[in-house]
Amino acid sequence: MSSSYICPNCGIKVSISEEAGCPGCGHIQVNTRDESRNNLQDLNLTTAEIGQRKNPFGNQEEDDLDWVRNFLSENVDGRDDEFQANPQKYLLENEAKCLDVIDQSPNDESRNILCSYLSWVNTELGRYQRSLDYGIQGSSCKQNFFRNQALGSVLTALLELNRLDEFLAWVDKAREAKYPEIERHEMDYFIRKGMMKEALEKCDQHYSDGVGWDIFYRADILKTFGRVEESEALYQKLASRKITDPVFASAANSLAFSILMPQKRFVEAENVLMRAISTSILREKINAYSNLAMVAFHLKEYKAAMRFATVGLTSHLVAIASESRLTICKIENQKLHENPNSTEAEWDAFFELVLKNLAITDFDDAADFFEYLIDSCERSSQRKDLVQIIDEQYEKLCAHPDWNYKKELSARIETLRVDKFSEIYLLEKRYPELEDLFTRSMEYLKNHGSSALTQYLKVPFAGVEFRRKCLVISDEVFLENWAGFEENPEILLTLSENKTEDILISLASNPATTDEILKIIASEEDVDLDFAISTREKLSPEMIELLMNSNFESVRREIARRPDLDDSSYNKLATDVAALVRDAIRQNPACSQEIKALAALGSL
Amino acid sequence: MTNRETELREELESGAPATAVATAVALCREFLFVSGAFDEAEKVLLDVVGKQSKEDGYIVELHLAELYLKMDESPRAQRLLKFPLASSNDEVKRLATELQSALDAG
Repeated sequence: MSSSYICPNCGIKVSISEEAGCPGCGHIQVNTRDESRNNLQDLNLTTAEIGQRKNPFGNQEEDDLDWVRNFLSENVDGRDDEFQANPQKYLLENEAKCLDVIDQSPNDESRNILCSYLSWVNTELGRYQRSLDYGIQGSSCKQNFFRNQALGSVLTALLELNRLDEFLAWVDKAREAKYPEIERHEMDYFIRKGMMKEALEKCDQHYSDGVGWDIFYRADILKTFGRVEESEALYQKLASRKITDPVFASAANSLAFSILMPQKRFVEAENVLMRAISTSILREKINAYSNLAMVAFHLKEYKAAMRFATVGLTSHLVAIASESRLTICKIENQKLHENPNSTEAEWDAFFELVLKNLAITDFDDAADFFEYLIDSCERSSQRKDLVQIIDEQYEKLCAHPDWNYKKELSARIETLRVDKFSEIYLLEKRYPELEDLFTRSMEYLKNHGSSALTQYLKVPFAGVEFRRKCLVISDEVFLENWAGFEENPEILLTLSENKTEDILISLASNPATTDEILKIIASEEDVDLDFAISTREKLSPEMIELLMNSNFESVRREIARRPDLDDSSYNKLATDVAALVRDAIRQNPACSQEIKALAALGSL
Repeated sequence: MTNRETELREELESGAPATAVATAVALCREFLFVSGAFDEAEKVLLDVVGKQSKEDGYIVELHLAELYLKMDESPRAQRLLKFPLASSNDEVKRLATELQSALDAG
């Protein structure tokens, strides 16, 4: 435990030995602020605690706050068991109660206090737009605790909604209001901006309690920025602490989920997580079950995975519950695929399950659910409505606040949709729709090798304008394939600007490639590229001349093997310094006996 | 529910750390394993895995291994049995060796 804490009402540093609490407002510390980030119950206790103080709403009451004080005391405080049993139900019930009475608030301050509370409820529920709306109103509170609570909600929501410019403006407002947790939000901001050093600085400024949260968040930041080994060392240190340590369970879950599982170290992860289940922090216990479910799935122990995921479903946190729902879908999907006798009715049931889960998914899991949706729909009785179903779900996902922020995930969803639609359109020769689909999604296809697009570019319907648009794609396998059959010289010339060997070899082998492009390829002075050119069925005299002078013997040998050279060229090659070139002349049926004799002479 | 079972459950719910491991093991051995309440037994044992002291010598892993064997999940049983097989507690080690023999015998 730290020897001091910052009062959430006043921002005053209070010594833990001051049992009377904060000299500013009388607030008594129940938990450290760091735990409050990780334990919902603790934050709620602070609200309850305030209701029990003699002067719970601070020392500057101007308004009559009896009404709101009584409301919170009667309806919110002292229900910790209910919260522990079912946090989501508890939060939703409390929200409903607040909304029922908020219009009866006797004054603005009472209303603002309820808004502050509602902002916190909605932050916990992951409903950030609502959290923001209530937080903005709650930030007008005169009461420090509730103003700070609302400011925290606003800053959290703006980051989650990826409204970073507004976030900075609110940081200034929060600083003016002496909000004590600015550095924590700034740390999250810098992580989102990809600024590791600044994020670490804010981490050190905020988490300086000696409990270990500084180490935990440092590990988290290092992991986010790809410094996995350093991150693991820190997590391991924390995960080896006693289970009663406040940081232990969070560290164990992070170690397993972020470090060990991505490296397929499943048995190690299992050992760490089994220990974490013994924690008394409910949300971390459930998180450990959810993670353990994934571990069991990867170990192909589906019965155990199902048992653990069922516990994970009870989490009120969207991310954890969603993760467990995804694990259950993975198990069901695996079972259906492994059983050759799976029926349409079983696929129907699975499709319905996926559809239901997609509606409430955490965005991190959305692409996986979307993939299962497409696959299960195709195998279910709903397949006739596949396009409409995909479109409906896609539109909903596009409206998600994370769509523009989590680009990798949205790109994956986009490509899943484009792959399926393009497959259908191509089969039905709906070329204008196909072209429109690709054009609209080109941004997401940049790093994606679409086989339907490759097939479409072989169709003459695809005009030069469309081909030009496709040049933004950088997927090398796609470009290599395209370079092998493209016929438009302008496009081929642009493709030759790509210096990847496989693409240039493909171009060199393409019969439509012009001499201008072949010379560009030959200028690379690469044996594989020259060789690819030398094996072309047709070569102009100019290119033959160029390759006869190649620095590479194997290339000159290929030229010497050709049947389409004139005698002067054969003559020259017959006296080549390399024996394998002269041998090729001797064995070439297109060469006269005199030339072959000349080659043999050179070999003596 | 017998008095003894009620007693053990109440003891477990009280969260007394000193007796948690022994109580959980007793509840599983005497009642949950016998009645076939395997899912509950698993939760009870997982709840106390991290509470073991060095003296406990991986007794919880031993019982989890036995449980998974009963649940026809031998790969899990085998993985967990590695710990009590290396236990410094002779009794736990002996029981683990017996269980290993049962596993080997198929």
